[in-house]
Amino acid sequence: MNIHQILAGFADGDAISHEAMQLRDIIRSWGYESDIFVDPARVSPSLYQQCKPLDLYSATSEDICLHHYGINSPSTDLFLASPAKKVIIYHNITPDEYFYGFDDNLAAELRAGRSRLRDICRIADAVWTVSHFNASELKELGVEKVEVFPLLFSSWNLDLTPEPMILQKFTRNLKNILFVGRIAPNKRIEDLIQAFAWYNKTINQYSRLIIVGSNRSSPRYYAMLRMLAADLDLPNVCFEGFAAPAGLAAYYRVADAYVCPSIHEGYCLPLIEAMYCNVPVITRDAGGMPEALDGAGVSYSGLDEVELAELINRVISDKRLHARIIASQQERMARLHARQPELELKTLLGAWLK
Amino acid sequence: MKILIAGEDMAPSLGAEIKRKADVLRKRTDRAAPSKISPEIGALALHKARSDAEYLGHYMRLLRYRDAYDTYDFNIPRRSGFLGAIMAGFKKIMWKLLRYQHDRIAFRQNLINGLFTNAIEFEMEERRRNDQEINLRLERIENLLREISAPEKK
Repeated sequence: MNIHQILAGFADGDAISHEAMQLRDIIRSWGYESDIFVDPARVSPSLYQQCKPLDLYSATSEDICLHHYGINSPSTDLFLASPAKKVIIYHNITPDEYFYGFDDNLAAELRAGRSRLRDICRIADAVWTVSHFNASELKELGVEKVEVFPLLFSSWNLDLTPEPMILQKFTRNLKNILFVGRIAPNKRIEDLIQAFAWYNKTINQYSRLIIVGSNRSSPRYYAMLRMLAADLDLPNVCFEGFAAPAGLAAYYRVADAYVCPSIHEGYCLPLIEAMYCNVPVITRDAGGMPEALDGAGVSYSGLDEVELAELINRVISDKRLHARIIASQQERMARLHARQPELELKTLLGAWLK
Repeated sequence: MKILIAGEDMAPSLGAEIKRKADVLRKRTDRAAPSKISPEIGALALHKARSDAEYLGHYMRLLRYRDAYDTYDFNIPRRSGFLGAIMAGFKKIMWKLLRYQHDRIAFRQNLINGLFTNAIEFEMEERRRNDQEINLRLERIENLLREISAPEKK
């Protein structure tokens, strides 16, 4: 019996790709054959060795196939046609409405992805999601039996020696506010830039905003953010682009606060990464983020940009508050470390395993 | 307003304090809203675009307003204390001395930026004309094909 996985894309720094690799390693440790199949056109060159081309996938009815679903792609059709027992892992699909004007093609793909969601879930033998938030979306669509298997976290990249060039660049006597994530319209990075403008110009001029993440998914949104930073006359907004693993460790090392103003997230792994690195986390109370925080850090809603600037200031400068936040985050990380993903996975796959 | 710190609802205490401080900040008219650009031509106007084509139109319009960088004075950051005052004073004098050269360079740079913006606009106009022409020709060919196939059906 084989337990393979099918993905729409496979990229370094992508939460779904890293989860797939962790799942593969767990399954292989049980003695099963397990590989990751992806369309070669959608694989980062650094990960070529970690996966196989989609057209090499084959299965029998004895096998199990896990499909990570986050966007409509040809890989989904292959999954649906597979004779194996089908497990869909729903990672959430960002609503298309955020992308019109910024990328109409991507918006159409997202729309198609959502429109197929219910049918795909009905064809699958089991439906898993990475958060209760995602599960509630599926239940609204009428999918009845949904299991939650929270997104796996691995700290291997954050335990690397931080990139010295980045440390040198950012460890001057300035307060560093950090955002990590894809540069996409649902992240509402413009809210953070506007809040930072107030923070930088009226509260602490010795500060900078570091924005780390790939800008390839929505270059037009990225152009708007750069224009906004220029409009606000903010030379201290640093668009750093995609970060290599050691680079990411360095950004978290120099950060005084991590802020995520996103309005739609299935889970948001960077929150966990920031908590692991003992950076106080401030997030909007939206999507799956409260679940990722699990009672730690700071979550907010209904704040305008000036109030958000004040909140950031308070978290950075109030030592007692800062210590309380960090303590809550360490407790959260302890709970996360106590998790036994192998056991969870075994329970979920249950009777199918021989 | 909702503020949860380590799972505890802090809106009544911390939230109220933040709101009060934010109000004070807003009232400081000398350093009020950080943006000097009106919302109609601000970067966030791009949010209004509902398609790629609309975005491009908005973007070009906004670019027009931004192809020249201004030569206004800017705020020179100042640290507290005597040394901070000396350093800030020194920077201000340096800026006054360098400003003449800066404005000359800015003038040249702005000239080039303007030429680039024009080039993009010309290019877009040319493309629009080509698209129109191709669409017209396609329409004519389709009409012709319809006319040819109509008698055959009869």
